[in-house]
Amino acid sequence: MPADTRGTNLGLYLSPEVIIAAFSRTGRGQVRVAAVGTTTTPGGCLDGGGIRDPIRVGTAIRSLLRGMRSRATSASVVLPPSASAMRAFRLPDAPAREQRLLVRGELEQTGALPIGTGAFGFLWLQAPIEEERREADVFAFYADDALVDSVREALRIANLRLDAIEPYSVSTMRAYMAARSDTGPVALLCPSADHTDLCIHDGSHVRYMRRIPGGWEEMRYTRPPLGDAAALGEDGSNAGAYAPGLGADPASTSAAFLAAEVARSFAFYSREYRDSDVPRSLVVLAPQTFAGSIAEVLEGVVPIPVVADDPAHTLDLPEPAEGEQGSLGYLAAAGVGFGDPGALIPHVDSSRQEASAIVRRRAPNVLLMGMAASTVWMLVSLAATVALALMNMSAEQQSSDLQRRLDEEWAKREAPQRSQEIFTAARASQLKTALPAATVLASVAQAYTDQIAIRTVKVETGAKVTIEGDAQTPESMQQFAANLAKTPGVIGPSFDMMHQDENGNLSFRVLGSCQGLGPEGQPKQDGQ
Amino acid sequence: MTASRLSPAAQQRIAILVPIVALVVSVFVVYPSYLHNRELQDEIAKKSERLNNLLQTPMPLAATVQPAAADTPSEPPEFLASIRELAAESRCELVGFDLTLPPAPPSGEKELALGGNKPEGATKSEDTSPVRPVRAKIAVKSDYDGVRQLLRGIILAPRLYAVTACEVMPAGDPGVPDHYVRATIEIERYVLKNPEDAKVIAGEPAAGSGG
Repeated sequence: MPADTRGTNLGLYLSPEVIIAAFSRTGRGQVRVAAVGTTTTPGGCLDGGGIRDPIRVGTAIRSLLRGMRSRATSASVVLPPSASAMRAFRLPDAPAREQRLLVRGELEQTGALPIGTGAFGFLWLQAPIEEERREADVFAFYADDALVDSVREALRIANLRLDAIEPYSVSTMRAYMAARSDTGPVALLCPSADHTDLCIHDGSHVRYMRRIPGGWEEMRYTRPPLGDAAALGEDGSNAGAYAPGLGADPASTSAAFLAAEVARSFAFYSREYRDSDVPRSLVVLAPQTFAGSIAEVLEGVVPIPVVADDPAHTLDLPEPAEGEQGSLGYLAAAGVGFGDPGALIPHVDSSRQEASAIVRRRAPNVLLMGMAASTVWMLVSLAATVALALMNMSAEQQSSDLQRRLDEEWAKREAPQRSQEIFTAARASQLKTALPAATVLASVAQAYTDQIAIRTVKVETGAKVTIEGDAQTPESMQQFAANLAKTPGVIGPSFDMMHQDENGNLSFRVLGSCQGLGPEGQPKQDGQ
Repeated sequence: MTASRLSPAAQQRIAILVPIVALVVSVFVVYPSYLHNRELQDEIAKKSERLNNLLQTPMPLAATVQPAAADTPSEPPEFLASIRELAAESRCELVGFDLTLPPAPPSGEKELALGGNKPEGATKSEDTSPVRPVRAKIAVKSDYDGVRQLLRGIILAPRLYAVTACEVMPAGDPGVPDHYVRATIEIERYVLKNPEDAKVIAGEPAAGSGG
């Protein structure tokens, strides 16, 4: 299906059965469908309430567009008719900047939209002026945020930006209006399974729009009268179980209700819009399966001709094999992608959400940023782990090298160091207990005089020196003591005992001290 | 496939798991590794400082005197031989040799048993000195100068000795000159507590040497 899609608008029709892509090009006030393509919707991914699996739908759209060699970056989307609801109400006319606020307030007040959420678009049409009151008829199409978000997500996966989501009936009617050759006023009836949208167009502007609660779903199962061969299939089977029995039973409640509501709408339009032209025909924009039957019901009720021709032929669109909407799917896809030639039918973007929804939609971006930051954090952590492991290995190697060198140095020094410790300990013990006996004996010898005789010399613990001897004269004892006091080996000598016997012999005992002298006789230094 | 193409469930799992993994890695791997690295750096700094200090410290000089001898059964005879040699050099006659045990330091147990306090010296129950003093008493005969020379020889002997007591009296024995004296000298010597230190004293590296 490759085609030239440059400079075109992409419209997508997403239905449970088929995805239709239509590229339309606007030029010289004319619109033209440049290319169309279809693909089957993945099973169970899409229903009337929205897209259940945006990933698979987005992947299918991407595949379809890749096959068409599309370079589109954005798309407008049409969902099945049941995807959007509509409310109509009359409001005082207001400037454009206030219209959306008024419509939202009305939708919230009627409970159509929860407060602050939901998406909606609207047609703001001037109502006929009565008694100088300027009023507007508002036709608001709304959907919930989940539906809009699911479409946006599917398109994002298809590398597309969502331009708008437009109601099915509006897109279909626009496509028809753009394609038809006549320019006069016309009424458009766009039935769907459970409702029918009616639009009265004066040829240049939409004048009136209404949603009638009732579609072909109720008519589809209306059984034909027994014996009615027309309702049977060619092979005689009861094909009417699916084929419409509307024409066979014009008095059926659903058909009568639809015809009555259309007639009532025409009557209301004629009464309210007296200055407007009366539509010249009523065009039924329904699948060919139902269009004929519906036209047949309406023909006797509305005062204008009813046309049920396939409008897709005017746009030279193929007939799709899938989809209950038939060729109208193409029409919808083309219509949403059209520009607005002559402002025939304004675009209604029901994907416009409130700021809170936009913020909420940004939450995944925040999530992605968080994931990215967390991933960066994790990668940095892993890198730090590796770097620290390498640094630790290097440090351990360095530490072990230092320890080896320390061990080697200690091994070199251990023996001398230990030897010195032993010497120091032994020397300390020696200094504590050793007496300078040699010095004491030298001092005694130095102090000796001829007239004395030394009997004993004792050097004892506590540095006590005891010298006993005999003397011939007291002067010799005195001399000996005086000499002894001058020597370095005996400090403070004093007579402890002196005795003279009956023969006049003198004996004596001198006590002294060698305190403060080292083993070699030298004075002890501090600390020794 | 980029992260945005992942399913929301997968994104949620990743969004939860990645920070948890990052946190676990940071807390249980990175931070302990960082602490370990700091410990290693401190250890390296300390070892470097110790090595520098060690390299800058001059090698201890070997003592010229043997401070102690190994506490072996042959030590007392060797000591006796050494003293006999010194006595001979000093013209002294060794007439007596008596090995006396050093006075036992107070352990404090007896005092405690009697209800007293532990003496101050007893608190130093762990004597870290590598040597143990051993005393011996010798008796020599010689003249006064000989005894002086012997005492001086003991102090200047190749092994460290300490004269802890000395008594000099006339010899008074028949057959010896009148000027001879008898000297009783108490000598303290030192033996090694650790047999391994004998190799250090002998100049051999001790077993199990290390930092």
